[in-house]
Amino acid sequence: MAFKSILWTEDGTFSNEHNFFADLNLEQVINEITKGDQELKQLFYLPLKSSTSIAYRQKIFEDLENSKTLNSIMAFYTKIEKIDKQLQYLDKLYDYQREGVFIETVISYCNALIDLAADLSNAPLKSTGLADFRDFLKTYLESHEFTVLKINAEKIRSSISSIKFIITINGGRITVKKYNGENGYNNEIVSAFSKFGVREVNGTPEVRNNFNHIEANILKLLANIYINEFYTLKEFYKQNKNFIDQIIYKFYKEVRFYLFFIDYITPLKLGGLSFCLPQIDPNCEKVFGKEMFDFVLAKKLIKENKKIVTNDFYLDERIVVITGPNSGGKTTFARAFGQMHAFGRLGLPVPGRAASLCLCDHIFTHFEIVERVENLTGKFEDDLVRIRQIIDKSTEKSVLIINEMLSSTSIYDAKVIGKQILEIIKGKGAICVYVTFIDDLAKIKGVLSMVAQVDPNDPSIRTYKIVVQEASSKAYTDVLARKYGLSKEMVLRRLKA
Amino acid sequence: MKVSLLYINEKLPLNADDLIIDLGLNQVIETMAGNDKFIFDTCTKVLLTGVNDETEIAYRHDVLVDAINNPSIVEQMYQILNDASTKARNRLYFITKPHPIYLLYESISVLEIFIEVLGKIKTVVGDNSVYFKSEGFRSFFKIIFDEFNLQYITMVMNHINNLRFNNGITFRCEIGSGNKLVNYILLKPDSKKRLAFLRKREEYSYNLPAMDEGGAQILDDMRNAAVADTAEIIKMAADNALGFINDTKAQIAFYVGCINLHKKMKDLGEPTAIPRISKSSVKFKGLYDISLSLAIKGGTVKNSLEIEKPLVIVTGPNSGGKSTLLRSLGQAQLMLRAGMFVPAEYYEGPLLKTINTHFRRGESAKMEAGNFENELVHIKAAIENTAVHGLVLLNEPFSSTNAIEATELSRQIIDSLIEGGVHVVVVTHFYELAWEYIKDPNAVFLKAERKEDGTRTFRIVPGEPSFTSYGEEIFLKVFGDLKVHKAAD
Repeated sequence: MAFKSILWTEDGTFSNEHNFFADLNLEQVINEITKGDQELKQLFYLPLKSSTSIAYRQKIFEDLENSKTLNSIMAFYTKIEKIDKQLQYLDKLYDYQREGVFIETVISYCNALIDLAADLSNAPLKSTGLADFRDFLKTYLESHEFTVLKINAEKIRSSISSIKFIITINGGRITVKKYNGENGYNNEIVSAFSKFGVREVNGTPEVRNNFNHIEANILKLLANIYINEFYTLKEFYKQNKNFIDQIIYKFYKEVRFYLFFIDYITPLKLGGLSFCLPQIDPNCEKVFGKEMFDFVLAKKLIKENKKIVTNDFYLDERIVVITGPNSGGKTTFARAFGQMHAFGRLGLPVPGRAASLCLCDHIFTHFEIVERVENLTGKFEDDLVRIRQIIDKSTEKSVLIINEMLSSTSIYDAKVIGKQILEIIKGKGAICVYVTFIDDLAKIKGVLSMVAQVDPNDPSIRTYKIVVQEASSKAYTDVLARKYGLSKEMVLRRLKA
Repeated sequence: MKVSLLYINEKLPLNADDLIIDLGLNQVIETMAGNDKFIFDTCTKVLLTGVNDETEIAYRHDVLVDAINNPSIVEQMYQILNDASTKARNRLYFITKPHPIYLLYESISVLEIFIEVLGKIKTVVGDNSVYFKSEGFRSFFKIIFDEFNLQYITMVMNHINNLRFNNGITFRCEIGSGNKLVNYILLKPDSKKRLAFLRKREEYSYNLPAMDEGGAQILDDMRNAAVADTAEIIKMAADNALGFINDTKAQIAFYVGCINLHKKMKDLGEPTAIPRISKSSVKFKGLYDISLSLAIKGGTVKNSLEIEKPLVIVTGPNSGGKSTLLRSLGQAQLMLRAGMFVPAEYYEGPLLKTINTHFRRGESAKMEAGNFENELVHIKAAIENTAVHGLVLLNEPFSSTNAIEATELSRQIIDSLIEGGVHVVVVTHFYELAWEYIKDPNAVFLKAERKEDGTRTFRIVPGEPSFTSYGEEIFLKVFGDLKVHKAAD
């Protein structure tokens, strides 16, 4: 099949709400991945509708797991990026400088393509996307257009760089003439000052400033001495202004989606974390993840050289209720769950050693807004309104992440209302991760209970492990009591003594 | 062009402050320096670091003798070098951004100062060079008179003139990336005559318009680029020339310090001696505390002893001259290591590799938990810095704790030091400690001398510790008018 795009097949995308990006801290992640490039950023807001288009991208990521393949494409990208930038400012350059920069740009372009083709020729490519691109590239390099471009550019460049000449600067007067093999002065200086312990220096003879009008004037003077060389140079520029192939250019722009993402996750991988290409279940039935973690937190902890705790989940039920002590990693878990789904449906690798995810139509989040607590009744109502909107829009293929809702009411209310909301969501058939302090919510039939763990010997230490377990806040207080000598046995023993 | 009158180790030992305080070195170094801060710093370094090489010490002794015999010439040379050093420092490196042409001109002016120094020293030394016998001074004069002879200096001056570029800067050039001009290589500046000849080659010129300030800046950049390497080479030469000036100045500074101290001791009527290095035994006559002598203007008590054992235990009453002896032993060893004379009529002793002191000082003597801890930390550090064949001077160790602990701790420390081949001199008022060693073949005992009538001479003489408490005596002397019981009761 003729190569068209490294990103897209014919299938469409979900037109999607993306309110959840902020709650999942994904805006931050996406900004970092795309280095702020708007065009690239848009791609993250266009989730794919079909398993086929997801697979098209996943296969390319699989190919890029081969470090040779990755490095050659990365190298190609870096080179073309530089070329692209250089071409954009050609108009602003001086005469003869422009032509000089241009001819090098052409040579770099030719070499970048040749290198890439050579690198890819034996690469074990399995993806349709990259294999088709390789075929395209091969045909292009064999074309007459490309061959002529390359030969001419090199010939002209070599004639210019073989020019050697002499400049004399005396006051404000600059004189140029041909060089006739005179010796440099420094050798003589070095031997004359040998008793002073001097050595040869080959330091920084380059002028530090940018190309300037003086150099432009000097080149004009030289054009009188080296007439042919400079004429050919000018002609080459005039005739080859649009030398970059359109499909190559599009590939260069689109391939950033892969390269930038890999660039972002590499430090995490080096830190011992796993990423995988998840199975994507269009029916949203099989949902699990092994050794998953929160992107943002992981990035931060890696920088601080701290240990990152990973967690597993296997959704036997559609609804997971997470309980456990404060700062025990509940929210992080919920966030990571959402992040995996958001990235999985973009065809991207997700955190974890293995995963199967729901090809969800929507991701909804409801994270408590901590500020503005003056009006509790108002807040309670707002919370309910928002949750209602979410439930209305959700289907059996939606993913809901709900965090600490209903804290603005009494515990009794929170229990009763929370139970009812969970029953409604259950009825909708959506996948839901619900974070709460209320044990009772985890005891509803058809709900999977997961609990954030603490160190059994020291309850002040959180392990950040979230495991399937019966919700019981008493388990935590028991550990606390033992540590401070307040457990039942300890107190009784003391009373008897 | 390397002068080697002595080697100066810039890195002071970790216990430099302790040595200065415990051995009273400030007064000594101040006398050496007069009011010259530089001599002060240099002498501090040389005195505190010393060398572990007998040959090097003998070499310094020769130079020292020359200096003491020719004080005026040595002092004049120091003055010349000192002036030049100040002048060069004022000329040099006041630019913040790299600017090769300025760098080149500054470097040239330093080279000119250097050449001027050579001339002045030649004048001062003149025919007197025959009075200098030491290898150190002789090799220094060889550099001044032979290596930098007139012919060489004339040649150097010619290049310096070329580097002023009176006929412009000429360089070879190529066209590099983006058609930028690259690979500047400076060519030898041509004479006017040769320039005229060269003009026969096809050439094109461009005159910078007077208004083009940006262009002038660029021309300046190009000139700078053309001389960048050359400037670095000449800077290297200037750095080395300045290094020569500064090194020589520092080396001579030490001997000027020695001349000053020697004169002072002579004026005070105190003896000095070039020490001899023995294998291990210490033998001295008329050893005194040089710091004390400077403070009280001579007339110090002198000690004369022969010590053939690595462990010296000094006991006796307070204010009996124990600490003074300890200090004078430390001073003599430091000055010996530095290649100086020592404060004695005669002195021979081993060349010990390190000197560490642990002296009881004011506050830290109080019995408090914190002080005890501090002492432990300090003594730990002192021992960590001690090498085999080092010297450790202990003055009332562990007075911050009780006698039992102090004795036990001191004994463990001393035993391990002696076993490790370290020389130890310990002054203690814990007789228990002294008695631990009474039968030890490695130990020798000294005590503060008393005449038959009980008066103190402040001299230290061989003698085993006695249990008689002199403290009681002093107590009685002071409090005797009150009705008190004798401690013995």
